[in-house]
Amino acid sequence: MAYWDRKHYHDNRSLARWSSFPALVMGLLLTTSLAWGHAFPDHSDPRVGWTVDKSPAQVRIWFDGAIEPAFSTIKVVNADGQQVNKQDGRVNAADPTLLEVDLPPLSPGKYRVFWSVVAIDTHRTEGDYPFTVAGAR
Amino acid sequence: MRQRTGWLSIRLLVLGIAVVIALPTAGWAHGVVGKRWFPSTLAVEDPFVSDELSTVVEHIRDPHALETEIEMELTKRLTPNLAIGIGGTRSIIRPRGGHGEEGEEHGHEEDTGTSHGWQNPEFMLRYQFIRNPMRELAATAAINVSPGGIGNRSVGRLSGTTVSPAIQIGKGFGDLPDWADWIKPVAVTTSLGFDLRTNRNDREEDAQHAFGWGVTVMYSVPYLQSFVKDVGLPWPFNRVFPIVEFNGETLISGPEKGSHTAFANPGLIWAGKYMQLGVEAKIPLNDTSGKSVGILGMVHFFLDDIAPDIFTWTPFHGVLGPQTLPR
Ligand SMILES: [Cu+2]
Repeated sequence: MAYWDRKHYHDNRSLARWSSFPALVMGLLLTTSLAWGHAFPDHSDPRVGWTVDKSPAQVRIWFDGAIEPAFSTIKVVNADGQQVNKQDGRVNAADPTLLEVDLPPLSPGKYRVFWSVVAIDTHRTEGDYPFTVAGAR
Repeated sequence: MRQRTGWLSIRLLVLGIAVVIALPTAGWAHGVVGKRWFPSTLAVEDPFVSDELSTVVEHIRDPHALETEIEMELTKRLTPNLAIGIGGTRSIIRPRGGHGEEGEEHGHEEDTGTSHGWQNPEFMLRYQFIRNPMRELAATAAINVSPGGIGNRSVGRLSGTTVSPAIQIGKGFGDLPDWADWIKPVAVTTSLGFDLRTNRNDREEDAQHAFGWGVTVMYSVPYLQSFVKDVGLPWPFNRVFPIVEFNGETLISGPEKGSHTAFANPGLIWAGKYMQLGVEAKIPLNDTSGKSVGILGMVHFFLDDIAPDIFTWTPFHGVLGPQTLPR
């Protein structure tokens, strides 16, 4: 950085020539019709870390891209680590970005949702999040 | 002319690599370890191997010149853990004052005295040897080779070759206990390495070996909202990483042995699905590092996500398996 000659050397032509390389790469990217990637959660219901007043009928997680039904899983456990969800975790038939599972009536307490999804390009993402069902008072 | 010929061969090499990359398929995840996704950082090398095209622009004002550096880097994995890369840096140096040319500045300062040129190219080999999902821990060993005398003299390219072994480590804090919920989105990364320079004649200062270090501390808003608490930030704010990067270099040989530079670079990184953007201030932390605050900008493309069928190609078929799942 600090070492440069005081000689004033004009080299604009090679700049112009080199700049065709990023242009080539960009062109390549833009003309590629297949655009896939990791699926990350966008939002969920119940919301991450929130307390809900009454037992939710379902847990639903929306992702920012389509996910593979065959390789995507979801489960809900209670504070003791016991699984409480019904055995019908699925990718929504009408919305390939929505992972959902039904719940029986839950007693008040803390719950944690564990999910694992595979985007259609095989990139796997996984995670978990807490929610709380408020006590009946 | 000799320098131009050198660059022509580099460009042919890049083209060759691009052609090799533009063949079939297979894939993994970049920057992901467990629940944690690490963005690429601007000043400090990140602890992952990936298929990526990165451009970092640095603009600083020192007492003698306005300097802009445009650094481009293309990396390509050969296996899930091994990657090669090539990088080039374009320097644009506009002298300010001290040349007896001040009087002319208003007339044609655009042309007068501005030097454009390439620094020596860089070739990289990177191997990721730790990826621990439970601990959100990742580590990569890297060796960069920058052959001397290829870039343009006008921008002060080194005449000697630089060999740079380095190690990068990243750690997320998602494994903290629940009382520390709000700290879980924090992650730190570090990069430590040496620049070892061969002494090829002319300038003694070209052959100074250096120790380079970098530390980043970042807060992941996506991590907060997806795994800890949805605080309701909408797009685009839900994809932001406030970050501070610290980096520096200590000369360990040569006439200026012991002198060190250090910078703090606070800023923001925004990560989309296919690209990320970053902007940081570059604040010198001692007199050797300069006096004015510079700026860093980054545009970064996730090639494997943009075009998986092209950029997730590997020569080792069968190791990675098929890219696209049967549907
Ligand atoms: Cu990816």
